Amino acid sequence: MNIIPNLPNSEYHSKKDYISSSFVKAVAKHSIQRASQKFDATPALIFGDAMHTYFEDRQKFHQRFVVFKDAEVIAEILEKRPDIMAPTMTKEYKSYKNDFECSLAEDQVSISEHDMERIQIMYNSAINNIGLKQVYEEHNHNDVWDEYSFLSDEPDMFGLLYRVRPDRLLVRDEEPVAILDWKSCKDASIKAFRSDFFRYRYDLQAAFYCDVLGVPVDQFYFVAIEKEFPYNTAVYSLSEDTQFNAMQELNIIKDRISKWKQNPTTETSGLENANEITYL
Amino acid sequence: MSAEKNVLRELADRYNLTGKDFFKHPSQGFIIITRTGVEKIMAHDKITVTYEVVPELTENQENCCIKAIAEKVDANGEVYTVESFGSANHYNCSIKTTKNGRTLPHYPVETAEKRAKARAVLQITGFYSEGIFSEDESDDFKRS
Repeated sequence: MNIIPNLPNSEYHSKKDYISSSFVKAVAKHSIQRASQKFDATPALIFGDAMHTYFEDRQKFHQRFVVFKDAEVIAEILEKRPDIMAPTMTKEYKSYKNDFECSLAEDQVSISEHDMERIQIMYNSAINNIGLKQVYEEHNHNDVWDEYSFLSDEPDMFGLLYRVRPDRLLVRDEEPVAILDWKSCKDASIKAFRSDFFRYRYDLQAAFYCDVLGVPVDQFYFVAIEKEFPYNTAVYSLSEDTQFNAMQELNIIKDRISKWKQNPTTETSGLENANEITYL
Repeated sequence: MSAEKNVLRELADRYNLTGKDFFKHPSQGFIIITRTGVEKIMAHDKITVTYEVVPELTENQENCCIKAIAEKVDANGEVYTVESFGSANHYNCSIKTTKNGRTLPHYPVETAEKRAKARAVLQITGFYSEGIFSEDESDDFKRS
């Protein structure tokens, strides 16, 4: 296994020969065709990226994300034109914002003051969570690795190579003992997170990471943090049945990807049930 | 590829096992063969299995022990047999309940039979010696 501590984001994501957790999840949700599609950054993705970076490396966060402070310009606009309802829709505001965005370096992204504030509250909510403290206490570790990249150095029995980049690893003597994954969500309650968990196939993500890193699946933890008031945090792991089901499905998906790699046709890259009648 | 993966690859190729037929144990890491995998192995090697109830270890509908005798003929016509046991009782079967708490019936004879069969088949084909187990034993693994 190749372990790279500071692999840039773009370089990590450019390693298309290596199967990632996102690819596996997309195949499970739909097909290899959809998993292979490129997607553009959405505001939610940018927020998630900013949050992860803030949690893991404050210096890197301030290098990459610049807070767009607009309170003053809004106050100025309102002073001049007190009758308007939406100062952010004015030409003056848009021109100010445009000037700000043009001043950013190529690898910099702007985030709003409100988002910055939310991220700080989320961070405090997470670090003060008792469940998370319990994870740290239960797993005897002498190091913490944030955003380390792992690339398999030889194909597995399916002929596939893998890459993972866990948000945080608790490490003892260079061996990972627990995996933490930050999840920003609207609602961290059991009912809502369970729905997100199976909808976005977090079960497969956990199985995949643990499989690649050789960590037992019950040592994978999702830290669900609400991105809006009241900014609660809850920690989740996988039940035994979910672990077994996820490992079983992971193998089926690896087999599917392997068959497509050997014979990349529409038949191997399409829906799993494309060539048969499915009874619901 | 590691020696362990090589062995698995060879066995998977020999028996035409696909991703549906095996998976890795989530916490202990060994390989588990699913029921479809055991059936494929049996069909490929033309293994026949006969069963005997072990009366001393069988009691009413609660506790059952079955002996499975797997037989396989190799390319030279030599006959190999392996005996293995499977048991099912409230100690080694999870008690399943409905949402309103009603206990669902359990089938000790059928459960013991499939456990005995899977063990005998994996033993006679050498999977056991490679540290590969069957799905039908996974209730035991879950509790270990």
